[in-house]
Amino acid sequence: MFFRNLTLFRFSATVADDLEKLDEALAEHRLRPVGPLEMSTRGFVSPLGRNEEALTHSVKASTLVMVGSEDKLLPSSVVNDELHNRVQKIAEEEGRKVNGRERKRIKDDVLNELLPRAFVRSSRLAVYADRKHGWLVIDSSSRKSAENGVTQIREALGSFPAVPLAPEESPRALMTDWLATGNLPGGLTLGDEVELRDPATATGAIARCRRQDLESEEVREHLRNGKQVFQLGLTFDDRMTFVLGEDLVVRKLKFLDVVLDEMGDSPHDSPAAEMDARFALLTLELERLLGKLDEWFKLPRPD
Amino acid sequence: MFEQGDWLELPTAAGATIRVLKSVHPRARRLRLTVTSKGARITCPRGTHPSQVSAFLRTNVDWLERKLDELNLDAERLPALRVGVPTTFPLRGLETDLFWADGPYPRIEHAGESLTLVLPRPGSRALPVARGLIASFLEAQIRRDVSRWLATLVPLVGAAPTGLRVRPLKSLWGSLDARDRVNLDLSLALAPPAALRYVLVHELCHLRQRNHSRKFWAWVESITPDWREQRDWLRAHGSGVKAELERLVADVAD
Repeated sequence: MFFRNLTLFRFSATVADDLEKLDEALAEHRLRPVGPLEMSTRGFVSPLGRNEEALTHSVKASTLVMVGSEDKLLPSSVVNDELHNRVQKIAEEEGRKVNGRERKRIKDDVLNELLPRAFVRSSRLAVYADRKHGWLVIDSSSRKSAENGVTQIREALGSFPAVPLAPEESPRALMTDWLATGNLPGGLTLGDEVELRDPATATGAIARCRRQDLESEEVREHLRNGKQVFQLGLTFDDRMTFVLGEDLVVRKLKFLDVVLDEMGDSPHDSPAAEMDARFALLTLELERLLGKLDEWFKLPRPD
Repeated sequence: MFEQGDWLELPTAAGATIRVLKSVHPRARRLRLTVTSKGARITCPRGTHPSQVSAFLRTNVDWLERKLDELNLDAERLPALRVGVPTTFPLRGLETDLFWADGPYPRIEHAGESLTLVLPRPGSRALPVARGLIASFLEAQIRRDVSRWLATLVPLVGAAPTGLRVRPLKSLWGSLDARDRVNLDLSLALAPPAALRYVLVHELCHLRQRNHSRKFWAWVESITPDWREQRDWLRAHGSGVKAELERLVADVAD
């Protein structure tokens, strides 16, 4: 279990105290299987694996939880097709038009018949909270699922004012400066991926490069023409690589061999023990990265 | 979406005429008269009888006249932004000089009371690049202020927005959408910080009260006791600020 993407939120020290009772709060919000006539359910599952009981897992001041969801797969085109067939049948057999209200009733019938037969897709979203430094880290690059994750915790705790990142330094301006001048803060080196956009117009030009030498003339020419960096591939301390967006979402996070070697390949007794080791390593590595992000972009913690 | 109709001419009591743009909107429920720096516009549902429109205009002619006066539409037009020509504009409420310089990369330098736009070479693309730079710079100013205030405001309000969007808005200063995201007008970067703070507080209070009831204003008052002053400032100088922004960052047709 290593996080692949990071969507970040910050919370205050008082909120961190509330998180102490997360374990009790989650017990009432376990994920239950989706019923035959339900579209979806959300809840918490054990982060340690399928057969484990504990809903949270803590290493030092970091607590890991896993938001689970079960969604029925029922494409609207299937429902509409069936609805259309039935409406047409009535029109042919009874020679009358079906009005809006009846259509709606038929649609409900169709849903009631199809829902119990629909496939169930389950998904997991890992979230951890660093209580010491006030970070909520969500393993997703999608704004929507990140917000869903926060909503779940909010529901379990009653209130959870976590603030989305609001950098004082404009990430766009700073990253454009890094790329244009080559002066990166200590520990950072350029990767091989960049997204450049023209900010002049809402429909401005976009240039995306992959496996590209970022110090080449082609990239510089784009910068000279006024494009700005919206996403930038970076390597941090020769320990991890990622793509940093102007929304400060970290994508494609990968730990390099140095870090993975430190884990050692001694076989762990159980999946839970392995999980514990990986989570300890992850939080330790990310603590430094998040601290640096705070330093570069100035991300104040609410007081 | 809009069916751009024709201009209606509305005589005032003083003998002058006001031109009002009539537009039909399919989702409009009732007649709506709006005034922006572009002039007056009446929006009506499909199939509205012309006599209904003119009756509505006649009953509101005084209001319309007053609003147009407030906007000072006949105030002198601001000079257009031209590459290489220094100019001044208000930044956070303070008159700021804008200079131009040559450099390897497009960049904006902010020192004290002046702003320097560094452009690689004066070419046909220089103006859009400059506008893009200014827009990004203004957005960064707003985000910096908002970020500092949010840290103290969120615990006060007890709720957090899910995101922040800054872009030019036509007639509003800010809004809170159904997904709890705060939208702010880019031109607030030109207004004094206190006005920006009031708009932010206003939108944050909507997280608790999604209306403009007494309760809502009590919330606002408890956080910004001087909100009336800021609201009045925006009413008095708002159109000027919006016009300035239009001049600085307006999308050029290229």
